[in-house]
Amino acid sequence: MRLSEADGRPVISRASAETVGELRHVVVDAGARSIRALHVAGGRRRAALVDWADVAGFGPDGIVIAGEDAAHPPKDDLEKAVAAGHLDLDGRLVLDDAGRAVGSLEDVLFDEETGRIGAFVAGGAEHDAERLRAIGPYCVVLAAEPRAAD
Amino acid sequence: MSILMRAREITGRPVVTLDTAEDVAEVKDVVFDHASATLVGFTLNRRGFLGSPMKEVLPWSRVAALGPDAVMIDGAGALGGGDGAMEDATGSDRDVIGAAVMTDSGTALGSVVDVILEVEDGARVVGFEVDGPEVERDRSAATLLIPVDDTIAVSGRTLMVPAAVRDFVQDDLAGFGAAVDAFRARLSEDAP
Repeated sequence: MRLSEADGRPVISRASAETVGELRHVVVDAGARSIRALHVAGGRRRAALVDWADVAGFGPDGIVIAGEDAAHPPKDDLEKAVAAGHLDLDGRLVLDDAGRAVGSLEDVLFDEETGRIGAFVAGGAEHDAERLRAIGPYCVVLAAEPRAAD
Repeated sequence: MSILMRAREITGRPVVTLDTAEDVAEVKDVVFDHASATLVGFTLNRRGFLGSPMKEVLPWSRVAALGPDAVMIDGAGALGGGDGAMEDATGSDRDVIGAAVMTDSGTALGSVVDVILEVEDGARVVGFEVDGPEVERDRSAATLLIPVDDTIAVSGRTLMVPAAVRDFVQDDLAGFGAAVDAFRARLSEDAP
């Protein structure tokens, strides 16, 4: 699934059938190349995170979570930064580790079952998530593609 | 693969950490050792509008990669004191911008407006961009690129280059790599 398609999707509690809010950002575990948590906004809580483990179903019309109590405040610096919008992925600069700009981040392809990220779309091309080195406040860093000698 | 770049284009380029993807500084000045024709490091400014100069410097030995869009370092710990090569170069006051380029046959080619670097594992000085008499003589380009090798002599005011460089002068960076190679091949043929 494309993250751009999931942006703004309603997040609903399975236990109460209440809408908790809508998907605003994702917290990416760069080392595991997967989505660790969802940042849900616009509901009664000001800023809440839901661990990927508490996502019951990531469907085309809604994201179902176990219950409203699965939403929790940021529990570490990474989650705080995401909740504050400091690590917003959309349009973020992508650099390779040789210091060359790849483009700006257009989309993230991920598996809605596991949360694993398959690829980053930047500069009009898909880049295998295996190349991810870091996501930070300035940019996303990918390992440089081997370049043909010229 | 090596790439050519102008030293002035490096000024202002962000210094980015590979571990946290943060822009921890930006390049203030590029520091050369002209005796060995190498880039030895960078002085730094803080990021942002009117970024103030930083105490910390970045020696070449702690650079992970110098690319066209950023200087990459492993982590913020790479910023700090200079290494020996950088201390030597900083102390010797060898800023070549504005220096006159003179051939060993006594023709003034112009004054240096930029330094051309070849970046691969290290960063070597392979040429100078000049403005002045040679440009006015018979060229339509705004500036000229002059290939050099590490045999040139540099004082604070003058760069002494072999007269043969006049045959290898280029208008733009596109053909400059080949010109540097051809020039160096000629010098080695001419060597006694």
